Amino acid sequence: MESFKIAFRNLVRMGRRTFLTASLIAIGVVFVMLYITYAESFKNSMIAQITDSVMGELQIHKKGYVSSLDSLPLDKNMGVKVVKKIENKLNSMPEVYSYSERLKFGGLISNFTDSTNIRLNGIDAVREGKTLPLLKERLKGHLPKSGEIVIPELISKGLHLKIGDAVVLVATNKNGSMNAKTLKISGIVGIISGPGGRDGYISLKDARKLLRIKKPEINEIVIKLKNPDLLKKVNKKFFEFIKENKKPKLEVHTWVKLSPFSKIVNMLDLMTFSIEIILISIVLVSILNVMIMSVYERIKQIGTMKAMGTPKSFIVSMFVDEGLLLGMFGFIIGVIVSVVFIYVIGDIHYSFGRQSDLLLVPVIDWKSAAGVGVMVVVIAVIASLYPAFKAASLKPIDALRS
Amino acid sequence: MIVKLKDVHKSYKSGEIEVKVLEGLNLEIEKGEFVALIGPSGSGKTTILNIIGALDKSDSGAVEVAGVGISQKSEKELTKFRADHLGYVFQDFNLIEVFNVFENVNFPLKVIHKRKDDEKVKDLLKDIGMSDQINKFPDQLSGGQKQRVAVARALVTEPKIVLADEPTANLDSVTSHKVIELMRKMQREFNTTFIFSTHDTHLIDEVDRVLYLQDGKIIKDERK
Repeated sequence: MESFKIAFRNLVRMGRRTFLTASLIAIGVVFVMLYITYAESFKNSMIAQITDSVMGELQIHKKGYVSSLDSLPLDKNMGVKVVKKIENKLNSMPEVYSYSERLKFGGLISNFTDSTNIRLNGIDAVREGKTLPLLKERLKGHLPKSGEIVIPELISKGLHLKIGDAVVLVATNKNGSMNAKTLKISGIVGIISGPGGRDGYISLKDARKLLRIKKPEINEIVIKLKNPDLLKKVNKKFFEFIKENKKPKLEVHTWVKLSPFSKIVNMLDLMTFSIEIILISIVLVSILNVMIMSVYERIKQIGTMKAMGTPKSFIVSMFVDEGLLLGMFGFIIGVIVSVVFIYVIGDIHYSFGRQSDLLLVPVIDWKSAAGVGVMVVVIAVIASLYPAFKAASLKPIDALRS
Repeated sequence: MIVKLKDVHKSYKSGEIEVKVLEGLNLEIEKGEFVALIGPSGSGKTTILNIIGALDKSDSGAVEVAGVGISQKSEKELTKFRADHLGYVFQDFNLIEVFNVFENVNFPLKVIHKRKDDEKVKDLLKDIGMSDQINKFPDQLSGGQKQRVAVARALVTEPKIVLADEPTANLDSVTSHKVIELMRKMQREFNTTFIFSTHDTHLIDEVDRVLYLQDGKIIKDERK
C-alpha cells in the first residue's frame, strides 16, 4: 500500500511528465481501440451479411459436394432417409435456431429474347426466411412461392427484367434430360460478395418439377445457430454426427471454410495483431524511458531507504507500481478519448465489392478493450521491472554518494 | 561496547591512484555515548560512519556493532541489521519528498518493521516540537524542521545507534545548536548511542566525547 502511495504521489508530483507519457500511451490505445472497433464492426457486419443472408453458419452436404460446387452437381443429392436423420439431429440440438433445405442447380434464364446462365436455389420460402433473416434486406419483393422466381440484381439489369415479368427457366437434370418452366418474378435480390451471393431462388416444389426429381431430395442444408459464438462447439458435434453416419457419407462446413471472406477476417486479425505490437512498443519504450529517468532522479531517496533497511522487494514494488499506474492512466485516458472519437465519428457508410451504401455501426468490443487494458498493464509492469531491479540493486553507499 | 573497530583499513581507488582513508583504525564506543567525529575533509569521518553503519565494508580489520560482527555479512543480512539496530540522519535530510512529516517518520516503522503505532509517531513528533506540522510536506519546512523530522525518523524504531553524517552542515549556527540539543535530548530519553560527524568545532561543548581525526587516524580522543 505504501509503495502504491509513493508511486501515485510521485506521478502526481511529476505531473507534466506523467501526463506526457500517459498521453503517448493513450494515443496508442486510441489507435488500437479505433481500429479494433471499426475493423471488428466491419468484420461482424460482413460476417452477418454472409451468414444471415447467404450461407448460414453451417452447411451439411453429401461428401464431395463442396469440392465440386462450381458445377452444382445433382448426383450428390441427399435422399429422404438421410435428410430425416439430419432433421432429427437438428431438432434435438438446442443450439440450432433454424435450418433450411436447398436444392441447388444451374440453369438458363430467358426473357423470351435473350438468355443467360443462372445459379438457383430451390427453397422453402418460410424456412429460408427464418434461417437467413437478412436475406429480406437484400430482397425487393418477396421470396418465391410456387410458380415464382427471385432473380439476382445483375440478371435483372442484364435482361431488363422487373418484378412481375415472366421468364423461362431451362435446366438439365442429372440424366441429361432438359426441361423448361415459365415463372413469374416475385423479387430481385441484391448481390453480395462470395459464393451464393449471386444466386436466384425458386420454390423447392418447382425445382423438383423442373429437374424431374420425384423424391424430395435436397443437396444442401443451411443452419443458423442461436449464438454464432457456439460455432466451433456445434461444428464439433456435427462432425461427430457425420462420422457416425457411414452411408451416405456426409460433410459439414462452417461459413469460415465456405466463404473467401474468412481470408479477409484473418487479414484483419493479423493487422489488429500488428497494431497491438506497435502499441506494445509504445508502452514499453515510453514507460521504460520514464522509469529509468525516475530511478536516476531518485537515487538518493533509494539510498536513504536502503540505508534505513528497506527491503529490496519494497523498492522493486515502488517502481513497478509507478509503471503500472502510468500504464493504467494511459489506458483509461485512451479509452475515454476512443469512446468520444467513436461517438463523434458515428456510423460510416461504405462500399464493399459490388455492395454499396453499407452502414458500419461501430460497436465497442469491451472484451477486446479489456484485453488491450490487460496488455498495456502487463507491458507497463514488464517495462518497469528493469529499472525497478536496477534501483533495488543499488548499493546504498553508492546511491547516497550520488 | 556498542561499537568496536579493530585495526580497520579502508582505501578507495581514484582513477589509478589508491587513496588510503583509514589506516589501522581502532575505536571503541560505549552504549549511550554521544560522540562527535571532528576533522577536516578527507580525514575519514564519513568513512568511519559508513563502516559502523554497515553501508560500506572495511578492506581489513574487525568491525563489531551492537554485538554483531558485520564484516563478513551478506548485503541481505546487512539490510536487516541496519533496520534492526541503526538509525541515520543525513546532511541533506533525505526526507521522502512525497510523504508528509507524519508519513516520513512512520515510514521505517510501517514499511520496514511492519508495525502500526501512530501514537508513538505522534508522541515522537511532539517530543521534537513538530506535532503541529504533521501534515506538512518536506518542501514546506525549514532546514531545521527537516532535520528534526529526520532525527525523529531515525529514532522511531528505537535503534541502538544513530549515525549522523554532518547533520548541521546545511543549517545556520542557531539551528545547528537546536538540532544537536534535540539529538542530545533524545539520546538521554532513549539511551541511544549517537555518533555524528561535523566540521563545526562550536558543537564540541555539547557532546560526551570528541574524536579528532586526521588522515584516517584518531589523533585525539577527548572525553568530558
